[in-house]
Amino acid sequence: MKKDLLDAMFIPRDAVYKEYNLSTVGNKQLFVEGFEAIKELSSTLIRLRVKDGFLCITGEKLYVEYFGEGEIMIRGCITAIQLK
Amino acid sequence: MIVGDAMGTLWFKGYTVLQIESLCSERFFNLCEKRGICIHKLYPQDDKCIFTTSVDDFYKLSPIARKTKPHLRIKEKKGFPFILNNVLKHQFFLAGIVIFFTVMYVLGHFVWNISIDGNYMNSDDTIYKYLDENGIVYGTRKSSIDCEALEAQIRRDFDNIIWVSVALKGTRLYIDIRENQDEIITAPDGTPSDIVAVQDGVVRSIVARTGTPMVKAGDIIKAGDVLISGTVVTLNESSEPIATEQVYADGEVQMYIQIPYTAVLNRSYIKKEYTGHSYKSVALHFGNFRLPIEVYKEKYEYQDEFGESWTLCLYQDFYLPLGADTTYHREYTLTQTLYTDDEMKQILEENFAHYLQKIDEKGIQIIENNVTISISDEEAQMYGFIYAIDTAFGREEISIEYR
Repeated sequence: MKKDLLDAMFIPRDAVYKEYNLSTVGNKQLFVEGFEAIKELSSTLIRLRVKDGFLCITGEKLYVEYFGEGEIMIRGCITAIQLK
Repeated sequence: MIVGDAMGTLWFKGYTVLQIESLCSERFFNLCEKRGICIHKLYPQDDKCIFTTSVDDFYKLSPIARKTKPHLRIKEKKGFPFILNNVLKHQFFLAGIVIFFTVMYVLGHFVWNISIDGNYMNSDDTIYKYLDENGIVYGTRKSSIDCEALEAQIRRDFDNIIWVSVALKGTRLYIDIRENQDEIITAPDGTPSDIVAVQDGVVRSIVARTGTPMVKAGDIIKAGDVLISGTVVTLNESSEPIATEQVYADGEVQMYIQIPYTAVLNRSYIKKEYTGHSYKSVALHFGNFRLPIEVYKEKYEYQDEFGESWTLCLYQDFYLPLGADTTYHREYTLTQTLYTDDEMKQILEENFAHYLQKIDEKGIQIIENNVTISISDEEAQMYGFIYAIDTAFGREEISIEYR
């Protein structure tokens, strides 16, 4: 019922269900909205807690360009994005 | 996606680069996020992390630091507030900037460069001297120069200047000149006069527009002879004069003339030869004051000097009274030398060709020349005659006695 109503009103799910949203620019940049917390932070692995589990970003020379207000921008050479 | 803007804003507000060393740095950053602290440029390095945060957010970190107890260290302070603070600490630097702009402002009220363009008959030196006499030199206040008045004054004082533009741009005074390079043609005044010959010759042709022709083609004439008379006599049917009128004689007379040419060239002459020795001297100038700097100097008996001047220009027309004059000195020797026969012949021929060219420029049509060269041990001579057609004539007012 709720889902049908949202669809009818064209309201995105991430705004209501607080789901996360990923957008990437090649393999050099990843922007995540709606994540809950950082669980692990290193230059080869960044693990984020999201609503349904964990988002693992692996790569080389990873760093966080911007972090705050439920948003994070990760840059570096991203090799894999996994949902666990 | 506000990274670029955020960094720009950060710079204006000031930001700190911090290093955190903790086993639970993730917790530290999560707490920061919960409290609305924005983290930029977070580089994880083993058990350390380097990150950037604004100065405002930096002060919000202390309760989180107390809670998580990390080892937090400020690595750098960057941005406009820190730069400003740093500058304010250096009072002499600040004073230097203030003095610099003050000096620039003051110097901008004076003329430090004068540019003259378009002058051919009046040399730069003549105009500089004229300006000097009128109180316009390097260092004159711009407000004391009335460009329009100066334009009028230059036009009045120089007869051959027909147009002049004076403009002040920056610290430079531009003077653009147009000169009258044509000969001044005076309109005939209508005074009754005769056309007379200016030199000896033979009349080739004569056409009288006004007046009475006194000679005909083939006549031999001498300088001063009347060619076309300004006296017009009206005759009746019996060829008796019934009226006499004085007019301004006008017409065209072509005359065969003979121009003598003689040129002498001594075999012995003084030859100027550069030795290859030269040096450069520099002098600094501040306004009209000149300070020579002679680090290296040589003494030459004979030398050529030529130089160039450079004036410090900050931007386009903003010249300053600082500059340098460079003078180059080239040594030469003078030795007594003798020309060879071929050299003498060549020089005489070149001079003769130059002379013919000058005659041609005067409008004299050359028909033939008959010159010979004779060379002796001491000198060479070139002599002979040039045969030409000349159209020049003189004018002589009709005198009372003549009437």
